[in-house]
Formats: sequence, C-alpha cells, structure tokens
Amino acid sequence: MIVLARTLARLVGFLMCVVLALGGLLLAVFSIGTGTHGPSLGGLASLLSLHSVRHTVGDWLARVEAPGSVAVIAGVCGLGAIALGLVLIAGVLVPRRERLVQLAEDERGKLAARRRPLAQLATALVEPVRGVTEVRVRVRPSRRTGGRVSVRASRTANTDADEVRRAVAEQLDSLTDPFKLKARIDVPRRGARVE
Amino acid sequence: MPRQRLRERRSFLVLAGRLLALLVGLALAWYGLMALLLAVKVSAATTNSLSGYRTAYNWISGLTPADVDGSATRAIIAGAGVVSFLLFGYLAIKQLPRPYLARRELPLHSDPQGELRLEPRVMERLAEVAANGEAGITDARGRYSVDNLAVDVTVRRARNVAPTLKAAQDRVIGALAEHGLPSMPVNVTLSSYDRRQRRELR
Repeated sequence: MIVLARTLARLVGFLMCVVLALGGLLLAVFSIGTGTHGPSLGGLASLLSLHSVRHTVGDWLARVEAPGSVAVIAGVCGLGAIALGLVLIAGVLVPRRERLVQLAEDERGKLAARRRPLAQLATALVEPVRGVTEVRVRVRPSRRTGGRVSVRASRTANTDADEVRRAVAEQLDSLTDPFKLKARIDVPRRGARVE
Repeated sequence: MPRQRLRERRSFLVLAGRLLALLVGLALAWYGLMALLLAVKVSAATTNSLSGYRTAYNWISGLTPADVDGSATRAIIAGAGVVSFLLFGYLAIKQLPRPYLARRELPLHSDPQGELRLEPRVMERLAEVAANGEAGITDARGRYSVDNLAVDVTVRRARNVAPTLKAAQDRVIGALAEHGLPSMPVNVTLSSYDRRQRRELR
C-alpha cells in the first residue's frame, strides 16, 4: 500500500512541476499584449473560457451553501479529496518498510539480515527450551531501524508459563540485542491429550 | 542469483517534487474537509472563516482585463512566469529517474600504454573466498557494483550471528587490502541459515 502511495506522490510531484512550468510559460507569453484579444491575459482568459468556469463554480458553491438537505455528491467528493490528500501525505512522509533487519552501518559498510533466516535462527534457538513443544516465529522489520520478532512457543501442560517465557527471552538475547529486535513472546499451553 | 542490478541516480532536488506533492495533499485534505462541512450544512460563514474559499472565489471572479493590463503588472507577471518556467522545468527534469547498470568493470590504472581493469566477477570471487574462510559461514555469494561490494552469507550456527557477520566483513575488507584493491563499503547480509546443522545444545 505504501509503495503505491509513494509512487503516486512521486508522479504528482513530477506532474505539478510540469504544470507549474507550462503555466508560467503560458503567463509569460500572454503578458505580451493588452486587451482581450491576441496574446494578452484577457485573451488567455477568453481562450480558457474562464467566464463559464466562474459561473459553473459560483452556481455549485451557491447550491452547496444553500440550506436544505445534505448535498450527497459534494460530501462524497469531499471525502474522496480527503482520502486522496491523506494518501499523498502518507506517500511523502511515511518511509518504505525495510526488507532487511539492519545490524550496523558505518563507512565500512552495512551488516543486515533477511527476515526468513532470522526467523529460522530464532526457531532454532527456542526449540531446545525445556517444555516447549512447537515454535512459530515471525520477524517484521520496522520502518526505521530494528524490528519485531513474534514468537509463539507452545508448551506442555505441566510447565510454568512465566518460566518458559523467561527461558525463551534468554535464548533470544543473542539475536534480539544486536539486531535491535523487540521480542513478543506468547507461550500458550498445548492442548494435546495423553491417552 | 542474478548479479546485475539496476540502480537509480537520485538528485536531492527530488525533495522539491515531494514537497509539492505534500502541499497538494494538504490542500486536498483541507479543502475536501471544507467541502464536506458545506455538504453537511455547516454555515458558509463559518467555513469561509476557516478556509477563505468564498473570499478567494470573490476576489478571483472580480478580476477584469483592466486589472492586469498595466505595463508594470504585466512585467511582474511575465517575470514570475519566466522564473516559474525555468525553476519548475529544471525541477521536473530532475524528477525523471536515471537508471544505470551497477555491476561493471573496476578501472585500476590507465596510462598511454593501456588500461588495467578488473572484471566484477574477480571482486565477487575474492569476497566469497574471504567470507567462506570464517568458521561460522557455510556459503557466501558476492555482488560487486560501482559503489559497494555486497556479500550474502549462509550461517551454520544460530548463536553469535552478529559477530560472525562482523568477522566476515572484516575478512573481506582485509582481502581487498591484501590484494591492493581500492577499499569500498562491504555490505554483508545474512541470506540463509544452513538447517542441516541446526542442532543447538543448551
């Protein structure tokens, strides 16, 4: 979603530059003469039929301002404009989500990791914890630095949840500290029955 | 792994285009809200006091050719138009993407007798051999481009990943220096984990 917003913002930025440049050129050319004919500003207004635009906009404003029932189409247009505006603002201000979790960056280069191997490493670290029967890990890089690692470690019925959580966090330290990952650990009890 | 990469040269003037897009976004959101307020019958006077839409419309619709026919006025408008054309035209050109192929030969030396160049694969192989020398790494793939040397590595141990990546970077930088090659940023990325050796005893 944010990739689309960023593309749209880039396109709008380019189009605005083109429109402003051409508009400036048009104004400069039509400032040569006077009156309402030929290359004059009055002539430009006639060419663009600004008088009919004035009436159209004036009528529309008068209708919307008049008391009465809610103007549905104007309301929908307003909502659409707000949504488009917010998309553009997000496209400019919100950074793209990193695909890599970064460890360090200096003049010597960057150290980073992809999400999947980090999740596999976390799984390998958590699996040996006593009482854990199944582990699922998801790594999500943040938009700035670091990210979040979500661990769902199912435990046996006779183990203490806090103890398992503490052990899992301890195991993950070697991964979460250097990569600035925030660990979110769930330790649900596995519903397996022994017969 | 496809080694070639398409990169884009970006000018800092791209920020100007972003700023324009931001202004358009803010204007759309604000005047969209005003249209919504008018549509739900908030009084026109209140909406105009918030946004000035009616004041602006009345001023613009009241303009006549006589208002802009003065020679000084026309000179100012023409000057502003020319400046706007030059400025925004230049900014529009700077917004255009300029892609280039990042993986290319590294020129080492040039004199009237000839040139000395290094194929990118040489740099990549050098990095791969150096990174593979680190004990915790089972595989390494290099990718040289004009501004950096990227090395994707596979690790064999789940513990001490950060020191392993750092050591691999040090080894590649050391190998570049050892062979008298120009130093450059070395980006080391953990790209996979060798699960065949994943047993971790606690």
